[in-house]
Amino acid sequence: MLVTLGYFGKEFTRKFRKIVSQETEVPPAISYDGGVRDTLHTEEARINPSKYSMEIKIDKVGQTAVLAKSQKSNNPVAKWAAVIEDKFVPAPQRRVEVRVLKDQAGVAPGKVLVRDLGGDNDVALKNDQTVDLAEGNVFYAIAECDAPKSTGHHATPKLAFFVDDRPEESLRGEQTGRMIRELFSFKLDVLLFRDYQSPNDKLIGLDDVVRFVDGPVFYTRRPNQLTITVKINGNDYVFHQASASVQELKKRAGIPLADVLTKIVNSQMVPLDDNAVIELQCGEVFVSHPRDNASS
Amino acid sequence: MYPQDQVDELKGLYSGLRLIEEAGVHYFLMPNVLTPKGCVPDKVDALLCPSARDGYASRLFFAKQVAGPRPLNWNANGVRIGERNWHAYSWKIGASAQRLAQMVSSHLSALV
Repeated sequence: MLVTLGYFGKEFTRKFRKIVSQETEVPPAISYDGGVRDTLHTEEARINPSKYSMEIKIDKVGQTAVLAKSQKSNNPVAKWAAVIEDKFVPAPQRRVEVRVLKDQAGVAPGKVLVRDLGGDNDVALKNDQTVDLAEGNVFYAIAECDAPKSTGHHATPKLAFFVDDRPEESLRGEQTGRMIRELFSFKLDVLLFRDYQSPNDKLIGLDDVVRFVDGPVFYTRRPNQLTITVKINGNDYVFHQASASVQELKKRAGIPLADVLTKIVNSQMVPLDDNAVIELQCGEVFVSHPRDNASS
Repeated sequence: MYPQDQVDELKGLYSGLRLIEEAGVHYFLMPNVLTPKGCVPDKVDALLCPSARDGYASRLFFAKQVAGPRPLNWNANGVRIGERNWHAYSWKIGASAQRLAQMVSSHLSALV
């Protein structure tokens, strides 16, 4: 069921599963889109309750159109994965059938997949059930007769973050870029990217908030990964910078600073000014020669 | 013979590099060498003699005389090597130019 909420002049569309009433001081909460809770009160509503109004329009007929509209949003689609029996298992999307997960993990057909929670009361899952990996993506397989029985009381799920295909588990759904790097024992200057299905992956800064529900799959790139190899007097030299001074090139190649360094450009020898800084290109060739040549 | 890495380096600079041997002397023929900017002609066949000859530690011959920004003493003209006539200017290069490509570079610096 789709519900459109008119709220402070803006409209929000949510797919509701159930409405949870709460008679405490905590604002009313609504469970939608697979169980994620959304409190509709805001601080502004507390401060100025007279402005607080909510209209609810229930739209069953227009559901397809609204869904299609929401899928066209500009938000990139995150990659998802699970840990099953301590193994990294990529998932096709966030919501996935239990059967698919079991097949991908190579779980024996007679075994039951169980969602691993942070305490007791793990949740056994049926084969034809669709699970939302955002509600916990750590599972184990167990014989059907040993599967835990539902108690209705569920602890916080274990959440597996993946960096470079390596999982680390946490009970915190909200981290920072710094916390993720530290969780995986990376240096803080490592470039961390959230992996999306689209090519525009997002660089995660140290203070950026990293929400598990936005996608748990990341990868790293090392800083100073720029590697340019040039040839100087027949030998290869590797530089981790886009440019270098002529003096620097000479020093690296053990060329006397008084000598002339020439760069080969389209088979033409071009002498370089001693004070020049040049852009380095991979595969470039340099040749030096002494300056004390003379006509006789 | 010359070390293969030096020959390969020169071949990388001048793709049509050929080795000529005449009277026990090795020469490297480099077709269509681009002369430094401002020279005429802008490309010319060149022949490197990397061993001592005519009182020079090495020599670079050209199929045609090249006019550059400064006058040069073309003291070898019509020298017959490999059934072609060659020309060379008087130019002594530093002893530290040991590699073939360094020799070519040193000789061409006279045209800059």
